[in-house]
Amino acid sequence: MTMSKNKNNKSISLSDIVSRNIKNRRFKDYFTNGITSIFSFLCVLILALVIGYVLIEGSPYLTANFISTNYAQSSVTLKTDSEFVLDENRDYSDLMRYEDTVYSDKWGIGIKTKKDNDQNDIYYISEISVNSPFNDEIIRADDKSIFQITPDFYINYITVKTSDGMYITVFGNDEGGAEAIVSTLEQGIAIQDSDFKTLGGGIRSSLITTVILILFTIIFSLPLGVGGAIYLAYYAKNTRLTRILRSLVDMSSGIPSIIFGLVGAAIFIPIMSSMTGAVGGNVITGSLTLTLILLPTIVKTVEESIKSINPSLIQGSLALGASNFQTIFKIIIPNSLDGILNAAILSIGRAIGESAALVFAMGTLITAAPSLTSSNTSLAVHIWYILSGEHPAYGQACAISIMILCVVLVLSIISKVIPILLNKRKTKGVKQNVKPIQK
Amino acid sequence: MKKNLLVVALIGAGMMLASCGGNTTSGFDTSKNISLYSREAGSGTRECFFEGIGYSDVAKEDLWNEGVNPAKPTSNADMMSKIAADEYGIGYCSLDGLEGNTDVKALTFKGVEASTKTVVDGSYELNRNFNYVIRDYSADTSADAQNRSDVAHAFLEFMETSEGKNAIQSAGGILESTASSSTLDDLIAKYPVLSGSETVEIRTCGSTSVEKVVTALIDKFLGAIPNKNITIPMNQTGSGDAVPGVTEGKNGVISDLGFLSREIKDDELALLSENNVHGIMCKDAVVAIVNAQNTAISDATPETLASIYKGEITTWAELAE
Repeated sequence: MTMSKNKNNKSISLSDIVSRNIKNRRFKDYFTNGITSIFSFLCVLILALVIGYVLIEGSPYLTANFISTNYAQSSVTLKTDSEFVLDENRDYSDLMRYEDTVYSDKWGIGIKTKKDNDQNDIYYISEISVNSPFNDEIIRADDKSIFQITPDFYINYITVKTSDGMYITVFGNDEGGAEAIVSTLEQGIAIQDSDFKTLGGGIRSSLITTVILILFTIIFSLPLGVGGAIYLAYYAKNTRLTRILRSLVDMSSGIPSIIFGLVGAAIFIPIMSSMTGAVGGNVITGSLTLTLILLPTIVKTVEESIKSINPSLIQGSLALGASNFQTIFKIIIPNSLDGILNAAILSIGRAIGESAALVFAMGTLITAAPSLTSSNTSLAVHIWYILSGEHPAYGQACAISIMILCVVLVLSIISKVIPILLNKRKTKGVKQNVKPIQK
Repeated sequence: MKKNLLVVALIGAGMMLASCGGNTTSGFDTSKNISLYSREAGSGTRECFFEGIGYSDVAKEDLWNEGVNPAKPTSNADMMSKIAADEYGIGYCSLDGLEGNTDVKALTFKGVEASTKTVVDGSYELNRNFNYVIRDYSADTSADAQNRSDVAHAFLEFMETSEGKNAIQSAGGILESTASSSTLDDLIAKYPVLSGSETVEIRTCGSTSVEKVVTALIDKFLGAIPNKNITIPMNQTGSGDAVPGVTEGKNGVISDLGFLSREIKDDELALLSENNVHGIMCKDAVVAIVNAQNTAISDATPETLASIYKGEITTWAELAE
């Protein structure tokens, strides 16, 4: 009874069920596809926004000056001799009279504007006439030697003595700009006091330190890591101890880097200072700490690469009478070269990006002359330093970020290219070695 | 399919980027709550601000009224960037860093705009002194201590010369007194260590707010003296460390010069001997700031600021009444 009623009300044929199922499935497919696309789109969007922000904020700051100058400024005090009085009738006809330069006709100099590393206007002496007092009568306050000013120095302030014995000071950051500086100069007959500064705020020393840091980190970590990987993959028998060892290596790659920094500061710094007398962190303690951080990654990468070597190669080598030592250096290392190079590239990437551990283990003082035994900063720590002060410089931090991002991008491209190149060589080698069997 | 996705992604990204730039034109909604910002306890700027508006309960400690819990930026620049991002925020910072910042609006205090001029003539009342204090060298008679004493005293005298005053001014410090008659050359003649070749290191400690001014002074001083083996490393941690830093020392290191962005307190004065010379280096102003979009307030009286931070006024509309 019920059956027939059902049949009357709703007749469901097989084709209906199939089409409904297909509709359902299509809807599900669209739904899941949609969700996946939205999420991957969001990921790409966030990445694009971050990179876009860094590029937009940072690119005006990324200048040749920024890379080639030191962070610290140096200051020089210049003045005229106490007996000096400006002679009004000097011949300054050799000045070039450029449009964008403001000239002082009494002193025979031209003053131009440029941007410093904070994108503020600064004023510097761009041109000096051969007859100008600035050529041979301006002396340094400290050793009384004649100082030839170069465009590297910008004007912080100048105090001139006027003909009636008054002193007028003009500051480089006053609103008047180059015209105000020149009009003050024109009133003076002698320069009582002045302060010229070199551009600061650059990253030269941090860049050099980063390169040294990477070099030492590779020197320390690669032999250790490759050795460990060869032991685990080749020598170690599959015992409980080996398994524990392997899982410990796995686990230590998950330890937050700041804890390694703590260890580096507590162990390496005292050892280094007792050996070399260095006070506090330095590049060596920094790279030793980075070595600790990187070892698990290197061991895992190289071990995987060794495991992927065809065992018959190794067995063949041993069967031919080669020693373990020969097998390792002639068979294992050459055949796991892609893994080793990959590990090296990963290490470089980590060394460039690591900051938390290095704040403790290497110090945060930006020095003018990087040395192995004093506190230095890598680029990442430089970012940390300039953002943590009283006047955070976001633009400069972004400029450094652009550099770091570029290096990381290049490294990841290299790490993709290396296996392709190596494989090509390998297959080429095989083709050459395998000769057709002659019948 | 892939191409479609790419197009959609690109359009979406473009729209997102475009919308980033243009959503700041909306009007200021006075019915919104005032969001409070204050520097952390121990900050000299905070002490100056709350003493200045007559709400000294919270000048040194977080003894806020119930329901009041300001966000705590840890530097002047941090404060400015937080206020620049929060349309309904109010905070305060040092005048020095404010120059050229268009994202925040400086409030006049009792109708007076903060500037070098109004601070010097005293009409802008929310100001403070940057003070210095020097270590007492009388107990130590070693040659090194004598050299350090000479360099430290020369540095203090340098701050009073016209060269020193210019350096302070070029770094944004506000000067009240005129320069002494002695010049840098007189100092070099008075202290032979400045023209010798002895290696001398004197250390500074104390306030972080003075960092810019003191850096300018040190650059100028070291650049102008013949002895290039003199170094002055800075270690600024906060005004509270200045007096302890030059008396009993911190982590076993006694500093030679301490700087404070506030007055030296009575209990700190008790720690100092007569050889611990102290005095005023320069002045600075503290300015109440709001977001540049804020149309509800442009002048602040001590009473309104105090009642905002006491939690008595909670919305911008109440403020207008």
